[in-house]
Amino acid sequence: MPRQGVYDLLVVAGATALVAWLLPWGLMLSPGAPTGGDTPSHYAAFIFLRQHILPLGRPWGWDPGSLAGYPAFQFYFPLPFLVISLISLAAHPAVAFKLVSLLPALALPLCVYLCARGLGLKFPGPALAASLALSFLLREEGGIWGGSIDSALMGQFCQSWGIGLALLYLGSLPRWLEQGRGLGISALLLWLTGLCHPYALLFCLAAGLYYPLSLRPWRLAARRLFLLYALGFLLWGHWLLPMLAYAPYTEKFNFIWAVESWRQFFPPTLLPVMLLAGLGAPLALAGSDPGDKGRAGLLGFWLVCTLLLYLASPFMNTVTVRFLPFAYLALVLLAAQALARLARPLAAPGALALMVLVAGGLWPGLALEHTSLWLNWNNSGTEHKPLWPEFQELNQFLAGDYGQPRVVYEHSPLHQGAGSVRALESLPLWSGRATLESAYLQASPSAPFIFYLQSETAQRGSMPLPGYVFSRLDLPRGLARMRLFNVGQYVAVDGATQELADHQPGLVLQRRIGPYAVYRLSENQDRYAVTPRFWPVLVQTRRPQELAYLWFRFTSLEVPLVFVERIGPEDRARFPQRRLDSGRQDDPLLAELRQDLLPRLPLAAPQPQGEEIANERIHVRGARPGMPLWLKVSYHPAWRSLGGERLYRATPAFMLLFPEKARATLAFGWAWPHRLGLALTLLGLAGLLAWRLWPGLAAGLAGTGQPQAGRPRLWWAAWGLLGLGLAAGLWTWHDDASTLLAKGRALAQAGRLEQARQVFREGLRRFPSGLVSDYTRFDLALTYHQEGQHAQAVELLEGLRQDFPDSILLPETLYYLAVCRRALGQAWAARLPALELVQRFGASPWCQRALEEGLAEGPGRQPE
Amino acid sequence: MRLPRKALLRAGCGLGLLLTLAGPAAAGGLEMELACQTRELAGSGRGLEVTVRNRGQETASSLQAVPMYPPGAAPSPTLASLAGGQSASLGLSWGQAETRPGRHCAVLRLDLRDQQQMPLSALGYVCQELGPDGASPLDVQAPPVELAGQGRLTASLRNQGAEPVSLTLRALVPRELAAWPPLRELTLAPGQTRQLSWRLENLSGQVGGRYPLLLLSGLDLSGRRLERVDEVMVTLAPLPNPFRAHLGWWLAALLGLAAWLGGAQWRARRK
Repeated sequence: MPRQGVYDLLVVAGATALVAWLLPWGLMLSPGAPTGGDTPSHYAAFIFLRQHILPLGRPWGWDPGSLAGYPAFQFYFPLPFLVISLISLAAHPAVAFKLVSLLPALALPLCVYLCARGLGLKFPGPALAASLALSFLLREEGGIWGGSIDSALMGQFCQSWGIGLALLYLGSLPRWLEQGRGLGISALLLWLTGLCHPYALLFCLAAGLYYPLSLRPWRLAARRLFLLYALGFLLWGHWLLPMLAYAPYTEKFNFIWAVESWRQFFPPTLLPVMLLAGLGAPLALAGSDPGDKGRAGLLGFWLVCTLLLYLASPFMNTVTVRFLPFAYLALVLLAAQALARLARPLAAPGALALMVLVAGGLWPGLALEHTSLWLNWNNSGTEHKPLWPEFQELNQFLAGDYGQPRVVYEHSPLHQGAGSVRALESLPLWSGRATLESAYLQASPSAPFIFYLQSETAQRGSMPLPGYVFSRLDLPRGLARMRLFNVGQYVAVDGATQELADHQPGLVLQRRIGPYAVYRLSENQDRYAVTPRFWPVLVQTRRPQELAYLWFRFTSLEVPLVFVERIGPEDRARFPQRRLDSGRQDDPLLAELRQDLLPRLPLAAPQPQGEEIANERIHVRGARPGMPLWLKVSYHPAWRSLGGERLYRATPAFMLLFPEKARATLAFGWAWPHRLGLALTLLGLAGLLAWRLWPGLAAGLAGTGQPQAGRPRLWWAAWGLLGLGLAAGLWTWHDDASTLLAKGRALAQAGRLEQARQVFREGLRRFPSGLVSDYTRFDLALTYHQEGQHAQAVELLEGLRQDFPDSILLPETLYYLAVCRRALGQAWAARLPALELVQRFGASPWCQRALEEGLAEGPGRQPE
Repeated sequence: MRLPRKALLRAGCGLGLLLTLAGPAAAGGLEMELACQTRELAGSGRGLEVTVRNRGQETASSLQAVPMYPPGAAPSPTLASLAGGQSASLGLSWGQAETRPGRHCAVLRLDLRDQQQMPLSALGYVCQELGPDGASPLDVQAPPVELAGQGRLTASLRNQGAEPVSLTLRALVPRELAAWPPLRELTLAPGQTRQLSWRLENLSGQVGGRYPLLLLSGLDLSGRRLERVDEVMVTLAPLPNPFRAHLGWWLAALLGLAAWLGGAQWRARRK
């Protein structure tokens, strides 16, 4: 081995060994169930995949254990889970999971090294890059952004896998695009990256555009890039096509991550890397070395791609900060190039590489505060957590199967005592019973309704979906929604909630187990297939989820809505009540829903005799032919009735059918997107084979020759301007409801009330029914109140009270309504909201304040 | 993942019918002190009265005394909250009263939550003499432990009596800690000393917290049951940063490499 190779090996092995040194191998090799962050949900999903889905011969299936049922691994990334399954053939499943979730951390130095080599960085550049990557890996800031050890421990190990594979792919690109060799490996890497994380894939796709921009002739580079993308997408078809086809049945998760200060973008552990990159890049661009110049341009392009993807995130339904790891890795490579340039005149560049390894490990290592703690916490296992005895007893008490009614629990930080706030999301794993919440909330159209229910049954809900407004704690209302979801038991953990539940009619305390109190819902039907009490109303609409959410928030839930895109003759015969939704915000249907005025035509049909629920099968016995049957399972087009009956999408996001016989059977399985997707993958594999077997064909398609770098500065200036314009445009629109609310509040605090109002109004115009709509309207009203414009404030507060009666802000709203009305001299009108405040929210501090200010009179202080 | 907040638990021990046992001292943001006392219940039942004092500043909630030894008793009712500086009593029934002569101990764990709803716990115990006074022939010495993540607890047991003894030794820990093995059985000849060790693990204890870990030994001697409880104070330390812990080596490596680099450069220049 040449001497340089020895140094490379030493440095990469040293960086890997340093990461390995930090890992708690004893705990990782112990069979305790991994926990921490999202990990319990991922572990439960892996066990389900291993035990129930893979035996079916496919990597996707239906998981009835969460979210009222959802298509598992159709919207999440299967490759790491398949690797875990493979390793679990030889190791304990928990050990396999822990190893695979931390494997990207061990492999990152090697991936960065190979990427740098692929990009043409000369010795000792790749080794330096591998060492500097430790600063990226060991940073404790911005764990949610991805790529670090902390990120993997939070449950984002699929993203870590995606980043590692993306680096390998990006390193392989020049060989194919510039030399016309290695299409197969690049396409395979692109495929595998796509199977790990879409953020990594999106970045890969964007970064590849650099080559047609920078190479001449551009057509040759573009043709090769197109060929690569086409092959990559064909290979990815088995996952991509069902994902795209079923995207309308998923939920958006596109919030802008709150970054409090620009300093957060500059983690201290990465500052030396940034400094080196900042000094080295201009020198390389201005220098005479074409290799350095080209790489500086390419890595600069990576930074631009990150910026544009960050700004475009809200429009792509992605989370902004998850693209940042690629910017940091670009800086790592730029810094390595700058150091390699410094090393050129040195007599012993290998010694410098080793020095950078030591310094590159020591610098971020000295700043480590909690990573070791987290590593121990996650890997020691759920069984070693302080609440394990009670958690285990709870699961033993609840033990059953998916045929039994679901179990709902109160969302609370207390669950951290069992390993993670998400510990009870793994109820299906530990107890065999179905629950509702899951980390895979994007995968089911039932998610908004489930998290609304969560907000009604917890002291403080998690409110994870930015497109929806959620409720305050309201157990009586929550009970109705629990019954709708066939919830048979409710687990409360907070003392205050338990006190409410103890006195709540409809809830019967079954058992207290440590901090958990299990209640039975006394009037639940305990059925997944029911005949609705009233005839469903058929709605022709293109916004089923929006209407369903209004139905869920405002109606008594007894008259289901059924959604179709077009009402046909058969539908007219089946549904005596129909509505055509215009899609406008003043459509009468919306008022009908808000006021719970849906027609109630009694449906005098008996309930089905029974049902059998299997993972991908639902059998209903004793159904009344021709009468609607409401199935409390998430709607998905891959479900079909074996009797040939049409499956409708019904509120909230359930299925409804008109059985033709007394026995109805539904099955989930292969549908056209799965078959077509698989065919595309097979076609892609055949294409790869043909590429290897017929070099002539390959040469014909890929072209011959080697495109060369060398675009004039004017060319880059033009593209730079275009990029800047695009970034500026995106920046203008780069806001969501939360950022607009934050901006408005900042303006209001600075006393610039008119400007604040403009921002609040923009927020309400662009996001009329989002997560913070009630907050925005409330803050807008307060700006008027602050200026003494009480009439405007009252108008807004009354609107808020009417449109968001479930809001957590209702007590405050009532208080300010009373204050503003009194200021307007409407003493009697002021007493009404104050009285409501006292009667409904007696325990609220706003009630206390109203009493102290003489807005209302006692007795008050009754719990809501 | 939520990081532990700094807090200390003070756990005390109790006052038996005839025995007074001094409690260990501890301090911190949340500070619970337990005093336990046995009481006779109606019939032949045995009860325990736990007086809990919250010496901290923040309010503790959901307080419940959970029997750990002997097994079989039911937890106490839950006390909703206990503000700083206040005391409260929790009573629990402990089944049938002991009838065998000797010295009997009971250990309980107080479960509670802090203001962030995180579960915390503290241990308390009480010993009671039945019949003629008789001390255990065992001498147990266990130094305090500073625990950073994982560690070992060592104890020295000496049989000071004239007869060989067979005993069981239980390591009873608050829920934030784990000790392995939880139960040992061993025999000691007269005058024999044995060193024992347990693997300790901090599961969720907050850095800076101090917890008493209880070693409960029990043996039968001359028809009498002799139990005793020895406390070992465990102080929770932060996990050491492996880089800071070996900073000298790291700096030496850096210096060595720098010297190598400088030497090579110097030699190249001379050439």
